[in-house]
Formats: sequence, C-alpha cells, structure tokens
Amino acid sequence: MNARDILKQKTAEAAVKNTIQIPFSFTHLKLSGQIDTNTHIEEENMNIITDNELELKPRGILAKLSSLFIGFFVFRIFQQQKSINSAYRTVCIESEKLVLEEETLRKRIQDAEMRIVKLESAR
Amino acid sequence: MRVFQVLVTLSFGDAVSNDCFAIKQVLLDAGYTTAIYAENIDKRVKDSHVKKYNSLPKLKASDVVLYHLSTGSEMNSKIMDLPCRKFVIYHNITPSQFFTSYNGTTARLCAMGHDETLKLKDTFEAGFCDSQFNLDQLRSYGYTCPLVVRPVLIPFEDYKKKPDQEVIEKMNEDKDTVKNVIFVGRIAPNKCQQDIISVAYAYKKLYDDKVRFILVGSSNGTEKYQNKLEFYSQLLELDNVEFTGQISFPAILAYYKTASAFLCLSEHEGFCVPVLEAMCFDVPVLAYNSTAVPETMGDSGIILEDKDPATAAAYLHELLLNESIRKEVIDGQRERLKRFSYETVSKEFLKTLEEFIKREAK
Repeated sequence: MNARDILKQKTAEAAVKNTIQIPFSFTHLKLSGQIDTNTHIEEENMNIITDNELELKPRGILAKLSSLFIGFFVFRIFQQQKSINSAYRTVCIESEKLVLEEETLRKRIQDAEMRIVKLESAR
Repeated sequence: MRVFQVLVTLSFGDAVSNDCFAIKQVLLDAGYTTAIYAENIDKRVKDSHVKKYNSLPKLKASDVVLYHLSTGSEMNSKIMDLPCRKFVIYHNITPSQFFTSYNGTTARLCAMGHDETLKLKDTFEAGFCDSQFNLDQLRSYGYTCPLVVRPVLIPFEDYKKKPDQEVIEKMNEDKDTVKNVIFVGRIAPNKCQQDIISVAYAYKKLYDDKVRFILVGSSNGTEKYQNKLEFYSQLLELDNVEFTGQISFPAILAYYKTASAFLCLSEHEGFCVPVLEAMCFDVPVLAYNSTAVPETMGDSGIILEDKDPATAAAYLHELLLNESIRKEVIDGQRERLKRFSYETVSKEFLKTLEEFIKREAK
C-alpha cells in the first residue's frame, strides 16, 4: 500500500466524514452593502445593471428641474473655483513682485548707508 | 531567426510571466533573436529584452510569435492580424463565474478571454499547453492545429536563493508546539481559500495539536473576497489563520522553508506551479482533485477526493504527524519533481518548437 492508500484507510477508520458542521456558510455570508450571487435583484433592475449602453437621464419635470438646478449649482462652484484660482495666481505674482521690490530697496538702503559712511569719513 | 513572445501583462512573480522569462532564456541560449512584447509591463521588471507591445518591429512572414494566452484582452484580436507565424502557449483562463461576486472587471475579462479563445481557434499553426487539461480544453473549443503538452518552465535554481531571515525566525518561534500549513497563490475565488479556513475550523474541533494556516498571496483586485475571508475566519473564531498579503520572493521562500504541509483546495488551475514549489522544499502536498492539479502532482503527494472539512482535517493530521507517511510522500515528490526539471522541460520545449518551425507555414 502506498501513502495515498494508507491515508485513505486511516481516515476512513477515523470515521470523521460529515462530523463537523461549519456554523456559517461562506457562500451565504454577506458583508454589509455587498451584493453577492444570492442577492435577489429584480429582472428589470438586472437589465439596467448589465446594460453597457445605458445613459442615466432624469425623467419627469421635477427630476429635470432638480437636474438643472444641480447642474447650475455645480457650474457656479466651477466658476467660483476658477475665479478663486485666478485671484490666487494674481496674489502669488504680486507677492513675488513685492519680494523683488523689497530686495531692490534693501540694496538701495545699503548703498545709501555706504555713501553716508564715505561722506562722513571724507568730512 | 527571430522568435518573439507576446503577452498582455508582464508582471512580477506570477507563473505566466516567470514562464515567459524562462522561455526567453532558453531561446537566447539556443541562439535565437528574441524579445518579450507586452501591453502592460510591471515597473519592477528590469530586463532589456522586455518591450512595450507598440514597439513590436515590422514582422516578416518567417518571424515567429509565441503568444501567451491567459486572459481576455483587445490584444487577442490584434494577434490574428500579425503577418508572421503564430504559435500559442495556452495557460488556461479562469471561468468568469468565480469572479462575478467580487470583481466585475476581472469577471468580464475572463468571459472575454473565453470568447476570444474560441475565436482564435484557426489563428495558430500549433501550440503548447501547460497541461493535458488545457490541451483538452482547446480541443473542445475546436482547435485542430498540432498541440503538445509542455509544462511551465520553472527555474528551480532560483529557489536556492537566501530566504527572508525575519520570516523564518517568526515562523520558527514556536516550532516545537505549532506546525505551519501554507497555501501559496493569489487570494482569488477560484483558489477557494474559504475551504482552507473551513479545514482550519474542523482541525481545531477535532484535534489538540496546534496548526497555523498561512495564506500567502496578494489580494490585488480581489479585496472584497479577502474581506469576506477575514470576516469568515473571525466568525469561526479562528486566531490561527494568517494572510500575508503581497510579499517579496525571499519571504515566500521563507514560508515554504518553514512549512510542514501545503494544502491546496483550488477548484481551477491550468497547471498549479505552487504545488511543485512546495515539492521543491520537501513540503508534503495535500491537494483537492480538480482541473490540472492531479495531473501536475502525478502519483506524488496526497489527493483529496472531496472537500468535507473534517475529512481534509483528518488527512492533514496524519500527514503532519505520521513520520513514515511524510517520508514516503516526500520521496515520491522528489521523484515527481524530476519530470519538471528545468533541463528536461527546456529541452522538450526547444525540440518541439524546432519541429513546429520546420513544418510548412500555413
């Protein structure tokens, strides 16, 4: 008898088959919010889920109005974001200019101080 | 002569990519001009012979393309129009139903892969299949071209590299009291890691000895499945089931090195490289009789005929503790491994490829 036969025989002798029931079925286990193969989905919804060409469009006057309102709202946010960006860019440029000006002024002051010192020593 | 390998994704460490690299080396050693062209290339791959598919040179009728078919992709239709000789290397495609609950994109790719494999049936002059299981599948899809079984090329020398010492120390910390049972393979629904957790539960109920079950593998793209596995393990109050996530090659070697048994309950494998890796480390293999697994194992290791957790636990218990059985199993596995030696498989591959090339082009 080879190892496979010995193991088969020993396991048969132990008679453990079907003695342990797993208290939870992995297949039926659901994590919250998860859709698995056992989740019941209506046929009409299934068609929507599997339709690749599907475009979501608002139906009904209320939905259309809401959609327009949301669209306008998003557009406004986009516009505001754009203007904030442009203002921020201006501030950055101005700030750089000021730094340069500060540098120039510091140099001038240094030059002036040098001149004063030279004048005083000449006197 | 130019022989190019083409595949969809060249990643790091998976069986198809490793096979691709090994074939490249065999072709280079045999004096062929060769390169690997892939649509997606893992950033960690540093090899001058690996190039993007869009840089594939203008092909002549005498050039040969070896196409690795293992998933659905637009490339499967592009390959039809290549003006050269085309041979397929078929690694099998996981049935999409395994993934439908966990990853819609993967499920769709698998389904596409299946349909595209059917469409490609008249594209290739000949082909290599990792196993008889894969070959039979192609025949059932209507492939009439010459097909041969050519096992995946595994450079076993790589497994002699230094394993991660940190992992070895961690695993050996309690080696006198706890035994390590491992499964190596990405966390994927077709590999049925939930059944390993069920066995862990049955083992705990039936026996007193302590066993740690380690699931080695990445869960990239199957995070939902991994979450469910972890939840399942928590519900069963198991504190001896560990997930390693994606780890380095030396760390994988360390897990093999410290394992007392390899448990595979996978339901779909086109070849199953990890089974041979375990054999390479003298780790006794206990595997479920499914798809290409028994073919890869041959007469070695232990085959489980059903998935009853208590029966599997009983087999595992004997395999872990019965020294004479362990010795016999390991001896058998060493013998089996000879069939898959790099030298044997590479010679077979080269001989068959040359025969294919000598045939008149279609």
